[in-house]
Amino acid sequence: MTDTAREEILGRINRALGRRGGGEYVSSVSESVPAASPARATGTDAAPKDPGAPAAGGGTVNQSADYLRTGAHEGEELIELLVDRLEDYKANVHRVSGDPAATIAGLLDSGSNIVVPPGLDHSWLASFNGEISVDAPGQELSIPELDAQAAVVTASAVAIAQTGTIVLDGSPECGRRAITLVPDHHVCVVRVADIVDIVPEGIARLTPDAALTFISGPSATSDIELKRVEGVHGPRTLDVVIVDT
Amino acid sequence: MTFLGMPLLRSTRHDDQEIPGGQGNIVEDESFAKVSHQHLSNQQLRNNIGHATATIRDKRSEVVAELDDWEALREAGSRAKNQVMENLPEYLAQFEENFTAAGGVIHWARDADEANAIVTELVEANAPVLESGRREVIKVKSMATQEIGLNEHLETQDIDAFETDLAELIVQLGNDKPSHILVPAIHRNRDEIRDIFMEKMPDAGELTNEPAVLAEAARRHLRHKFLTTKVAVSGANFGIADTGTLGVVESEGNGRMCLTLPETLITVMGIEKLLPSFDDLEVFLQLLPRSSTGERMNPYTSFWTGTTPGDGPQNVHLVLLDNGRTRALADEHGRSALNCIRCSACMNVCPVYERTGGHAYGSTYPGPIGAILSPLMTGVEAEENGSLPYASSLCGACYDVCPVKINIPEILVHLRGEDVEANHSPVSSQLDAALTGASWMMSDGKRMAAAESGLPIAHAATGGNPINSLPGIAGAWTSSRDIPALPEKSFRQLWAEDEARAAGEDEER
Amino acid sequence: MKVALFATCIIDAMYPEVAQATVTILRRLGHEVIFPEGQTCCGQMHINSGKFAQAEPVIAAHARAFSSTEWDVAVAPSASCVASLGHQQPMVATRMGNEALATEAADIAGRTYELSQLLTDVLGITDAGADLGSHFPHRVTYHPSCHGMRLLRLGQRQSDLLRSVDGIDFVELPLADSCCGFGGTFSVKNPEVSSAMLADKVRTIHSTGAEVCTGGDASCLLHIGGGMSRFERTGKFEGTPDVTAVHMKKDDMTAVIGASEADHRVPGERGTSPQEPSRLQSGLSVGQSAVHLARILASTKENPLRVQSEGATVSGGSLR
Repeated sequence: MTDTAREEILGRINRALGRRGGGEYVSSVSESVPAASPARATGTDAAPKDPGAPAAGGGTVNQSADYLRTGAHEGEELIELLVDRLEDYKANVHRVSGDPAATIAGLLDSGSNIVVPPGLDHSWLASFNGEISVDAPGQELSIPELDAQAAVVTASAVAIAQTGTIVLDGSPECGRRAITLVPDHHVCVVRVADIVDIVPEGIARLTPDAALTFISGPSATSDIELKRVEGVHGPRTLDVVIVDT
Repeated sequence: MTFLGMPLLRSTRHDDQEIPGGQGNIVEDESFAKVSHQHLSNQQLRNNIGHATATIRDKRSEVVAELDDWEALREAGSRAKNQVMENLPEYLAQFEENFTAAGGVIHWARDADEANAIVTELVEANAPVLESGRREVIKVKSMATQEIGLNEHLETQDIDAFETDLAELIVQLGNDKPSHILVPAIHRNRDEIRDIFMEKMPDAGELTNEPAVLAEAARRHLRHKFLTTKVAVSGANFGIADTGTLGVVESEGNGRMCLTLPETLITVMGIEKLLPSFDDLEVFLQLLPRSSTGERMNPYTSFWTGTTPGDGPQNVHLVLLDNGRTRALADEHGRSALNCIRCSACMNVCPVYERTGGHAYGSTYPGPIGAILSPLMTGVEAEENGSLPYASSLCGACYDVCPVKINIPEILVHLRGEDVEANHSPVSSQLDAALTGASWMMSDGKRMAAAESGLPIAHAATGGNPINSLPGIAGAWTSSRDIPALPEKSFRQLWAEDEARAAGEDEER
Repeated sequence: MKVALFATCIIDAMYPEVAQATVTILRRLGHEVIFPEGQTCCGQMHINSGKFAQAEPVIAAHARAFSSTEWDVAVAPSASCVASLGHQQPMVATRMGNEALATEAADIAGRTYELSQLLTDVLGITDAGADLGSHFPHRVTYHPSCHGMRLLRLGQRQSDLLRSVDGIDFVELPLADSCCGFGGTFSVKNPEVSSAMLADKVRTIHSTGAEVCTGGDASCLLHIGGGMSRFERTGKFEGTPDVTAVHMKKDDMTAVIGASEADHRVPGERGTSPQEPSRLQSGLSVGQSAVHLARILASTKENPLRVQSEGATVSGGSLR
């Protein structure tokens, strides 16, 4: 049934665009627009963009557009911008030079239970007095188990200063998505080296190999009279520890 | 040569007879003028919407003003979406290949009925029958599923769909309809919401009208569902062609819950939601939150590509929905309406929407974008959708704020032309006759001068008094406005007299 | 400079004094004004009603009139009509398959200016008092029309000129950028919504206490004046289920302009939303009227434009 639907919809699109043909890909510009191309190169060292490459299948059509690709903030100014934007969206921000273990332990209730991703730097938890569950492949915590955790501690992939956004990319030190979702308290470590200024710089560092989660402050809603209320279904407390090593 | 009496505009569509319109909740049953009457007289509604739209307008303009390159971003957003529309088959193919290679399953739905049937079948295959004899799914706010009436359909198939977005929950519990695409319960104030929660949430207990208290009640109400339900249904804000990635932009974490915890995820997405490249997100993740909620970034955005081993649902489906989108695509003057990223900025600035609310548009898509999108998807001849393009003063505020630069006023005028062509005008023939007469007169300055030579008579007939009441269609004007007394002479006459006098003086000299 | 005047249909037939004022201003600056014969209308009324085929001969009449004489620039005291020449006429001609007309219309549009555009951009006028002798010692508020703001991007041109008029007491109009609800046939096809928009516009004008509301578009002013006149006669907003007031954000507070006592509840009281409305009381002063800005710019100490309190006639809300 759906095969027929697929053919028919593609046929409608072709007709809508004034192309001849039925349920197949009739390209009006077949040479410049490949019918399909392999998935995007993975890894941050993906092939550099070729500004002359055809748009469809070859990446964004906006390679030559004149919006900003890089921001102007750097150094301390960049960090301060991130802090300002995170706090604006009601995240708690803590800055540490060197070892963050004491700061992290101070954010967690002593004797409580926490969950961490398998690749988290163990030294970060050296000062924590409580029960640590490692959510590792093959030993994942069940949903009720996650629900019973007081907090989760993770690293992060990228932080975008201008918008106060932290990105988790499913890497071993960020963990799978459920662990940063079900516990009500998220302690998230951001390394200064992972801070970028604006959104395009953040996107450039990411690949969709794993599921990505962009987090800007704790969960919130503005559904009642457009009055912003922090804390709905996601973690209601977001502690961000910015570590300068 | 005159075109009067000749067939009007050539059709601008390709093969439009062969491309069927969409169905479901995109049809206005009664004309906009009729429906808007009852909403205009709702004091509470107009207070709530006036307050809410004023608030969000200000928030938006503040965060947009923060970006020096906003206009360049709009241009880039528009260009990317135009590129998608012009090469839709290629991008769909690319998306399908990548999404499928990553373990997802794609289904194609020609219309609302087909999409509803596909989702039902998937739910029946993956959600257990509970003690009640019914199945359950949790849902993330999705315009596409509103459009096809999925919840209502599932209900008839013994499947309960639980809306998890706070506003959608308010709407669902209140047996109401969404009135705004971003904040569907914008027409309700805190007191009304409190009353709905107290009545419909058995476990809510005593609540105050504080938004924080009401949000907490929603959290408690839904928590167990999130942690136990096996199947979720979502929409998608973006589908990325070059990676096969889907994205959902949200605030509350209900989206993350639905996208992460269930075993099966069924996403319903319109075929126009694609972006060419993952890199285009650098534009759209700036355009959407600032235009939509007036935030620099919304609290949560999730991206997933098919299935991710060990992370999230392992049974991932996508229903690609047409339901009239191809019909809209066939209209080359209206096609760019498909660029819409559902930010709702146009609603928040629209003076018509601000006074009538979203329900007056009779469609899942209200406001200025709805006034073009609904008739484009169904054809202007569907029910009273032909009245929607007239529901605008063409003030242009919507075009100014549109993050993907959809020229809504121009498309409204284009669709009025389509409506005229379809001879489906909801307007009295008196106006048509008046316009026809005016066209004849204004096609020639001499005829207009001749008509104006009647001004002294008209002036005398009205005694030089203002006109406070006129019969017929003009009565619509004089129902609330006076008209100044007609001048004794037109400017044309005065000018000619001056010229003659000056010429006479020249001769005398 | 030889300036061709496009009077526009509404000014030609309803407000000849506005065209006369435009001529007065241009002659005062030493320019020659001509009135191309055979001109009628920009065609917007038909275009916006979807009647493109009926618009085409109107567009052709405009092209004929303005192609048959020599002139340097054309001017119209109407942002909406000038916008229609550029934004709509060529598009409609193209859609009717008349490329020659489209080219001709675009050429004329490219040399046609709205009055404040001509004065500031072409003629370099920055101070109406000094350069034009404009004098108008009255409290004035200003409604920037939608098409002037958003299609012609007039920005501050009109308001800057008005502010520089000698003696003027210029008051900002709250929510000035909201449409007045005219919209041509919109006000006939959706009269109730249009009237609701008008009611709010009239309320904000009342709140300024201005004696005169001005603007650059006679059509909007006809509409606004008509609403003010009707309210003044009947004491209410008719023709619409008008139940509410204008909401505006001011100093982090939602203000409700011209609300009745019933709308103004105690904060926190049940049924209140917005939570803390403050009330800007309607400052309705009898004798408010609408007048085109060309007439204010043409007004001088020697030959002043009189307002109602000075014995001028106001008809249907329009200052004669």
